[in-house]
Amino acid sequence: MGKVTDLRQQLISNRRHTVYIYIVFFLTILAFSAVVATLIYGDSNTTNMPWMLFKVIIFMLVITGLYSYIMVKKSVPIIMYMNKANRINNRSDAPVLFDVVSEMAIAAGEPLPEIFIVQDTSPNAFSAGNLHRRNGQWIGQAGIGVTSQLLKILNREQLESVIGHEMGHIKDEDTRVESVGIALTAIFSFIGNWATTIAWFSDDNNNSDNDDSGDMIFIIIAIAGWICCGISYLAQLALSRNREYLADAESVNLTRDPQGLIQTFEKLSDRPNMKSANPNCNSLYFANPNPEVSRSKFSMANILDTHPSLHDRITRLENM
Amino acid sequence: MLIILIIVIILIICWGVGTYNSLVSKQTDTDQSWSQIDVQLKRRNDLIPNLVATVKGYANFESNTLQQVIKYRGQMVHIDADSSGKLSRQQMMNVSNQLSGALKSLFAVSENYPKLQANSDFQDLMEQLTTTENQIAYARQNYNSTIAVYDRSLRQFPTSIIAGMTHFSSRNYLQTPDSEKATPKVDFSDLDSNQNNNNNNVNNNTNANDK
Repeated sequence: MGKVTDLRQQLISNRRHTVYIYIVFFLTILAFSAVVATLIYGDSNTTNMPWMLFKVIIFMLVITGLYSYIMVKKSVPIIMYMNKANRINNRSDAPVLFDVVSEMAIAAGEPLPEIFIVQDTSPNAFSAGNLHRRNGQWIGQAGIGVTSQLLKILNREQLESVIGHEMGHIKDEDTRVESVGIALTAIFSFIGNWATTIAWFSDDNNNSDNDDSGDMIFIIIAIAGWICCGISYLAQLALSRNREYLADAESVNLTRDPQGLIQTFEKLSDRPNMKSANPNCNSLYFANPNPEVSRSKFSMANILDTHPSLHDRITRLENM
Repeated sequence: MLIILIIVIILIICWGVGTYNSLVSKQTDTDQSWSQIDVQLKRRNDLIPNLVATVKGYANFESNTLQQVIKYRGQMVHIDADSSGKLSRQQMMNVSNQLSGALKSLFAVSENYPKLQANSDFQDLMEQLTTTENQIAYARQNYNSTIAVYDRSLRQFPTSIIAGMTHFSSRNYLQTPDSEKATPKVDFSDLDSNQNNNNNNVNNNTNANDK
């Protein structure tokens, strides 16, 4: 009983953290707008400055809001497409996977999610969606994707534990927040890219004095864009690790079998990098899709990992 | 003064209605999760005739184990047909657990028939019945957790006042069958040496599952 309450408390604090993440996202957008407004209108009439700032902020909020909205609303098809996943329409295409997902959906008391398979030689799984509970009813859709290699190497119990983990993410509405995070990271990296390209090319073509300040603007926008991209990635990261532990706990809560999950982690310990995974979607995966990077000793990537190490996850499960 | 009194009364009524509605929705949750179990029970009833037909084609297949499955399936269908609410959910699950036990023995015995194991129809039926059995178990687990939520709010003060006034009654958890707490042991030592005279051994185990 103690563990159940512990899990519940962690979920509550997780939800509170989610609010902080949204605030960070919002502040990042505001800060970026402020930088852009100062750059563009800084030289002109200063009395108009607040109004100009307001216009840029509204513009940025509308753009990011719209993009995030589409991303959350169409999360399943977009994220599945980004990760080259193919939808399973009939049970006969992958009977065991279909059955296992049905079982875990019943255990979690959720509607059956859409099921996808990614052809990849690295065993992994991920989930997407905007499923949430309102007034006792489930609203939205959810999808679970697994790689072909995962299906090949896991037995039924181990597959259940992986699907249980993904069900946990969907149940705790992690997939929704992640969708917004992915949208923001994508927008800022797009702006950064765009501004970098302009600054780069205009530097080559024009050497007249007038364009110098213009180049400066784009360089600063590029830098601001990349910084904001990093901030929204870090905000995602701040939650991701803890959420992996929580989803592991949810999985055991559903299957009542920690051994299945422990055996799965052991099987995944020396997997290769995934080829089909979209780099923006790292945090959605069951286990880090690029383990080879983290395994190298000289890499700083460990600090920026979206996932705790499999070893740490096994230790936590053994202590449950 | 009167206004304050009226406001307090209105607030109390609002709270009462809200509490009542939340109890109703929690009770509906338990009924919904029961219907999950019910769907799976029916699905299993539909699958078993196919299984019987497939298995019957194999000469010498344990008639006794098969009879058990047919018998309990017959009872399940009977309960289903006259679902006038005479039998409690627990009683229904008791019969279901016996059927699960019988199916488990049948699967265990089938391992001694390599030809049957190689049959793709049988493999598919095995998978479908396995997932149905698992879904029944998971649905029961989910049912019990909705009962826990409902039961907790019934007992908690001050919700308990509204529950008492409106005759909400607590509901029982579904018991986990003993056969699931311990993995059933089937002794194959005799089966390997002589397939035709293996009845006694497995029958004992089937009976053990019945209890």
